[in-house]
Amino acid sequence: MIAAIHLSGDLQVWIGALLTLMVFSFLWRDNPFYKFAEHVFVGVSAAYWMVMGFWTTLWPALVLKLFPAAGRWSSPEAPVGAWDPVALIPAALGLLMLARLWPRLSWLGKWPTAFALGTTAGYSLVRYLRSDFLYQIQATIGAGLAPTAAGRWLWQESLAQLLVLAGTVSGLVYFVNTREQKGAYGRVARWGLLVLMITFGASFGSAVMGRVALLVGRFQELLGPWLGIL
Amino acid sequence: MIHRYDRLASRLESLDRRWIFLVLAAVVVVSLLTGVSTPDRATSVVQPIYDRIENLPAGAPILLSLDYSPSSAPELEPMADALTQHALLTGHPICYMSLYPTGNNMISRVEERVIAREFPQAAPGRDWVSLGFQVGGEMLINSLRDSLTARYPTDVAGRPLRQIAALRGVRGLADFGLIVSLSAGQPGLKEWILYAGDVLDVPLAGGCTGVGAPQFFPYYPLQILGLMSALKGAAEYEGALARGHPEFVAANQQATRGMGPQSAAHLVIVAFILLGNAGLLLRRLARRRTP
Repeated sequence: MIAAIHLSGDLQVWIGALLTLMVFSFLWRDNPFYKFAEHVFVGVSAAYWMVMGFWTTLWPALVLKLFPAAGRWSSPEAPVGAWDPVALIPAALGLLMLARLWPRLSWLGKWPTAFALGTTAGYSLVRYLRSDFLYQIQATIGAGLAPTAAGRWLWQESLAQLLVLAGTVSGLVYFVNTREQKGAYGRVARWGLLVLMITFGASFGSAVMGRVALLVGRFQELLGPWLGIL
Repeated sequence: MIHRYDRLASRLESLDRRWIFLVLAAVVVVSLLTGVSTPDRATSVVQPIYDRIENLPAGAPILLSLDYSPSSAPELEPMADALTQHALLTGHPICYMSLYPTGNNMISRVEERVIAREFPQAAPGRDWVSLGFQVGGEMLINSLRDSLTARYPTDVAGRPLRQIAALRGVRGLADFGLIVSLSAGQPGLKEWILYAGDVLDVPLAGGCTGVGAPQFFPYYPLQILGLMSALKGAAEYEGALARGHPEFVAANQQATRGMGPQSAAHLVIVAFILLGNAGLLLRRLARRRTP
C-alpha cells in the first residue's frame, strides 16, 4: 500500500533531491540544470579535498612538526609535540614540485616526482610480486588437480581447479603472438578467447549490478526521506 | 512478410534509448513502492565472513575500514550496517577507520543509523571506537602493522588509544580477530591484501562494489577469507544474520529491500538485450529472404 506524500522539511534533503533530479535530467538531453549540478559537484569536491588535504596532511604532518606550538591553537587539550627537523625534507620536496609552475624552473619538479615514483616502485615491487604473482600461481595450481579430504576425492573442487587451470593457460596462449594460432594450438587459443569473453561478460554484468544498485539507492532517497512514501 | 520483418527490425534497432531509461526507472520505482524483496542465502564466498565473526573468541576486536565515499554508499553501507549489527550482537568491539577522506562522515552515518538506533546500550570506547581517516593509503596500513598509535595517537574524539577499552590488548593489526575492508577503489581492499593480509597472520575479508568485484575474486579463498560483492553480497550477509540471530530485528534491511528492484531492473535489461538481438535476427532473416 502506497502511503500519502509527506514532503521533507529538511533543506539538506531538498538540496540532495533537486541535485539528483538535475543529474537525471541528462538522460533526456544535455541542459543547463545538469550543467549546474555538474559544476556544483566538481567545485564542492575540489574544495572538500583541498580542506581535507590541508587539515589531515599539511597541518599534522608538516606545520605541527615544524611549529609544534601551533597545536595549541588547533587542539588546545592535546599535548604539544617536539620539533621534528625531518619534516623539512618533504617540505623541500613539496616546494620543488611547485617549481613546475615556472617554465624556467620546471626541471626541479622532476626530483620529487622521481623520488615518489622510485620509492613507491621499490616498496611495492616485493608486495606485488608476492601477492599478485606467486600467491596467484599457488591459488591456481597449488591445491592440485585431485584434492582430497578425509581420504575422499573432492570431485567438485577438482573440476573447479581443472577449469581455472585450463582457463588460465588457454587465456595466456591467446596472447602469445609469436606463433600462428592454427591447429590444436589455435583451438586452445580459441578456448582462451571464449574464457576471456565469459570473464568480460561477468565483469560487465557485475558493473551493471553496481550501477543499478546506485540507481536504487537514489530512488530510495527520493521516495523515502524526500517524498516520505517509502 | 519480408517487409514486415524489415520494418519491425528497423523499429527495434532505432528504439530511442530514453524509452529504456524510462522503463527502467518505472520498474525500480514500482518495485520499491510495492516492497518486492528477494531474500538471499549466503553463498560460500560470503558465509565464511559470518562464520568467522560467530566463532571469534569472546571480546576479540574487529577492524572495519570504511574505504568508500558517498558515491558508493548505496552498495557498501548496507555491509557496514550488517557487520556492525553482527559484531555488537556477538559482543565484539568494533574499531572503525578509513583510507578515504570522506571516511569520517561514513563512520558517523553508521554510528547514527545503526549503533544509536538499534544498540542504544552500546558505549563509545567500550563497544566501538572510531579512529577516522588518516592520509597515506598503503603506507598508513604499513605503519599500523606494528603499532596503531604510530599514526593514531588518539581516536576522533581525542581520547588516547591506550585508555580505550575496546582496544585493550591491541598493539598492531595482527591483534585484531578480523579485518574487513569495504572498498570502493584505491586505496582499499587491494592495499589491505598486499600490505596487511599477505604479510601478517590476520584474517582479512572484504566488501566491494559491483564494478570492483572481478578484481577481487581471484584473491578468494587463499588471500581473503570471504568477499561481499555489491548489494547482492550485502543482502546475503543480511540473510545470514537474520537466520543466525532471529531474535534481532534490524530496523532497516537496506540491501534485502534493494534486491527486489535490483532483480526487476536486471530482468528489464535482459529483456531489452533479447529485443535488440531479436531485431538483429529479424534483419538477417529479411535479408536472407530478399530475392
